[in-house]
Amino acid sequence: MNFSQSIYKVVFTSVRFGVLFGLLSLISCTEEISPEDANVQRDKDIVPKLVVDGRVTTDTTTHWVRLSLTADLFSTQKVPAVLDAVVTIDDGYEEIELEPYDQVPGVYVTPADYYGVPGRTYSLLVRNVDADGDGEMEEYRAQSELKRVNPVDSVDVGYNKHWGGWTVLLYASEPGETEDFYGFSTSINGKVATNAYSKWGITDDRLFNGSTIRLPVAVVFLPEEDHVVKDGDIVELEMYGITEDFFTFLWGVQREAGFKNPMFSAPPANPKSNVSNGALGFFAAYSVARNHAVVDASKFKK
Amino acid sequence: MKKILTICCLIGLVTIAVGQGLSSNHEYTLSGYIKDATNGELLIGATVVITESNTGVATNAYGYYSLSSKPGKYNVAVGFIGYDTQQLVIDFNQNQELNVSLKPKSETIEEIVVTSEKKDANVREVQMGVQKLKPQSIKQVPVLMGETDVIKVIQLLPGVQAASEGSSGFSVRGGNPDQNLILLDEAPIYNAGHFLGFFSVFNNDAFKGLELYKGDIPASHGGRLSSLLDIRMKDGNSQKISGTGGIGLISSRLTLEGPIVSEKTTFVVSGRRTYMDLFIPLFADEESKDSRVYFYDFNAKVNHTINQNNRIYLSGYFGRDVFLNGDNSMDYGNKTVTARWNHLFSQKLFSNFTFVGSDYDYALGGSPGDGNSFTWKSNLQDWGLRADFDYFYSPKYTIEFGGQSAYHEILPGLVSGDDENSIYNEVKVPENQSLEHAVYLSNVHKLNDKLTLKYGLRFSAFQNMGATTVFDYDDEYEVVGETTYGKREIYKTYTNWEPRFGATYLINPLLSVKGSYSRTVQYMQLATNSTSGTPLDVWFPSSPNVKPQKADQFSVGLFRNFMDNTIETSIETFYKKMYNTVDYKDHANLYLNENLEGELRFGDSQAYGAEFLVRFNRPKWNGWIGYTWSQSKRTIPEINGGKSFLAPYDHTHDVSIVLSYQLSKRLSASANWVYITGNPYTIPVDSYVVGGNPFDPINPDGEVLTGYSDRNAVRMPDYHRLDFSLTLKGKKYDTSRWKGEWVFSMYNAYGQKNAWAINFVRDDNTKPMIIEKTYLFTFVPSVSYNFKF
Repeated sequence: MNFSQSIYKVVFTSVRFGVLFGLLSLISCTEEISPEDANVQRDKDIVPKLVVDGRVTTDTTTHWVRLSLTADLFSTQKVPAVLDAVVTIDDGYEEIELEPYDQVPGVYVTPADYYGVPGRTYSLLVRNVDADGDGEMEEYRAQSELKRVNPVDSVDVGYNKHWGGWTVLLYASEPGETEDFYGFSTSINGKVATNAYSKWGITDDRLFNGSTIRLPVAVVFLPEEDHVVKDGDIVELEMYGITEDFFTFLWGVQREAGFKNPMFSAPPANPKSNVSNGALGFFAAYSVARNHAVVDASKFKK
Repeated sequence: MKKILTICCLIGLVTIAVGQGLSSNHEYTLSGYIKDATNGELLIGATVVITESNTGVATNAYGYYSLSSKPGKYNVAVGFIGYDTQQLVIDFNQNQELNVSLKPKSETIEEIVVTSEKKDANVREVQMGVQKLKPQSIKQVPVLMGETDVIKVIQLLPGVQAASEGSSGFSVRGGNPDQNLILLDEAPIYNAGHFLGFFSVFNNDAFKGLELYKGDIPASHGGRLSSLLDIRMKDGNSQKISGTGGIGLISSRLTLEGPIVSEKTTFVVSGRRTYMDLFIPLFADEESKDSRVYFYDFNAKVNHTINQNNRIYLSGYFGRDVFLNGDNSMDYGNKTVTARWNHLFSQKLFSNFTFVGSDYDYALGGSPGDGNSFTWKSNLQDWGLRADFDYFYSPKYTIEFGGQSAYHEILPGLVSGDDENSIYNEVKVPENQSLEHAVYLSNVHKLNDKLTLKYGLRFSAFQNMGATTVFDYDDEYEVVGETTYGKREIYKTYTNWEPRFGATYLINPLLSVKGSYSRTVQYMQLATNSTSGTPLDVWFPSSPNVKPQKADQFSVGLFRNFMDNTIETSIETFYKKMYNTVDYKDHANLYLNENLEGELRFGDSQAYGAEFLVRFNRPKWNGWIGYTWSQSKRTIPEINGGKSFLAPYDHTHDVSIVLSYQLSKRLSASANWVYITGNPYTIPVDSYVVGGNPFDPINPDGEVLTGYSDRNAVRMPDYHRLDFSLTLKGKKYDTSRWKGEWVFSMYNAYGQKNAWAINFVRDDNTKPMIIEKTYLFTFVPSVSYNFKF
């Protein structure tokens, strides 16, 4: 299926910082209200569900899968971790069992020399979990193909005076014969700036299919988010080759994370998970390409 | 096409046969036009009644009437509400033409009410669920920022609600906003909103009147399920050059009208421009100072009376919204053109031939001058022809028939880089073309003094036409193939019979009971997944993958007038069943998506309710009190687990009170109060965390997402609001040619913070969930100065 979220994303990023939201902010006010005022009915009988959050990448490192449960809407505790699960990953060549990570409960890790291979399909199997608390153990499965990604040829940092922030430009070539999906993440001097799914840049390849990508990856560093770029800073960009399913999930997360209003927002829904048996979250396999730039502030046209 | 031609011929033949067969040699006909004596404006729905037999007719949409009677001398009363009735003695000894000019009643205060032709038309007419409004009434209702707005007034009628706070989109009897056919001089308007929909495109000064049909849509019209809003522009003052205008807080407007050379040719031009952008520097920061936000409207019309048998009308509308902010720009607007020719084949057979064009387009642009710049365009064009005939066979039979054809062309979206160095490929969602045809025949049949029937049949056809590419989808809505069709190749045809039926039984002159049934079919719909929509939403046609929406509506009502017809009351109940209702999958992508049809999900919906209305038109008091109880539900197998859920426009209770009181000769006060059950919405039931990195010390946990259960299972808080206004007329209002008045108004006078949006926000795992309510418009005062000369 041909998605065009990239354009949507580009345009709506423009628009978000542009006139429409500016106008809305002039005529709207926001205040906190109580759950009773919002007619929230707190159902004590809601059954917890398993949440899977795991990634296998082409980096050689310790990969992890975090298992947790859904929590009460108004809970201020950390979400319950799922302990004692049996977690395996099978890439079609070997099956490995992940070890519980002793520092963080609910996290299961691979050996430190593990890495994903492009073209293989990674299958996750989670057993010995009783999420709904009915005394019977459940099994959950997820699959993700590990897509290839071309190298990042170079990275450049520009300043956008209308957004009052910095954009990261990426140069890479794009394979023409396949329909590809990308995620982007950035860091400044080793500190990850896009440390949530809702902050990742995502795109399909419709606008660049088969050509050179020269893309402001819709990652904006804004001073108000404590992201200030100075002369000499090292800005690193990671480009991920992701599956369409993961793209759809990320798209859903980004739709859910923003401010919702009757003009731009559809009815809310859970981002589409790839885990079976009614679980939430996503198990993703993807390839990583990275490059960096040293910021030359003299190039910024203020 | 052949089929349609055949049906056209058949209808023609039947009509002639009926005409011949029923024709009586012993009757003579009186016919002509009825006008306003002060400005020559043709009066729609004025009545011509033979007092002795109490038989009569009403003028049609072009002010024409034709009344036949047996020979004899009779008293004939020509009347229209708000005008002095003229009593004439007519000798029906030959066919004769008589144009009548009526004088407005000198002492009437301006009615704010929904008016009807005859004082007791509410009780007598067969038509149900229809409301008529005139510009002077609309003007009296207090509105947001003093911008007089027909659509905001319509939203105060029973069975009609705003799509969301301040929106010019409206829902009729639980239907979607795109199920309303909005016609401006017969040209369809595809986006009736300015400024993100907070104002409508209709400049009140340019209009003569409007009619809203809430279900029992006449057979002459179709193509939408829920309602017909028929807005007609003024014809222009034939007596003298005159003007109306106003200076308001956010906009000014001016309308000029008058005769050209002789009273046979008249014109109207009307313009409006907002100047909100002038205020931006006052409160904007440095970066936004060069922003521009404005809209403008232009209406024009020229009419020419060639002779008693031929008149021509040419009218047009052009309006645009412009948003500019540094690199980014957005503009959108409608253009329409209407050319009409009225021709009398005989005194009894009135015809109107119409050519219409309508165009809606938008364009977004960004970052001009560097490789990132792009333009995003979308465009919808309509061209149509229609022929309508009114056959005034006798006071007992008024037969209408005709046909129409329209061509729709939609470019859903085109994004392209602006220069050779552009980094973007061109992305284009293929254009689609379609044809929509209909023929109809209807008759208002007065069986006797008590019982009147109205029956009609409409036959509609819709055809998809190349050149385009159509995708095939499997059960999972994935594309499994595509077919390309050549230019002008018809690749899908839908046909539908649309019966319309109504009956009125007059129990006594003040009390009647009415019933109606109508089937409506809709072939064009708006792709929007939010309740109020945006200017970027795109219309899409029925196609091999999208079946036409259909509705069956049954309605029963009781109508009773009191106190010399100055108080009208009615109860109308309705039940509406809709088929092939369109909804969207979760997180659907409706923009620039050539596989839009794969994002659609189909089901059925139903709505039912009761509408109570009390209107009064007392010497000092005017207004109405409306109450609606209703329910509107959808069942879409692939949404909400197949369980029925409330339509986004479901409101159990809806109360509107609209009052105007004449305090003194110069001063009048108006107020309206609305109370509406809160919008249904979907709330989270639990929360969870994804996207963290246990090895990243800054954000080990990830972000909190909320989990959802049933769609539209709870409601936002109930909505209520009071608005009021004071109108102060100039001292010499009645004597001077220049008539000026000041209008002071307050929108949301007690500052109710009505929820426009409710968001559940939780910044991280350990902080509590916060519920945020966003509201618009509290205490919006405004002042405007209106004038006419």
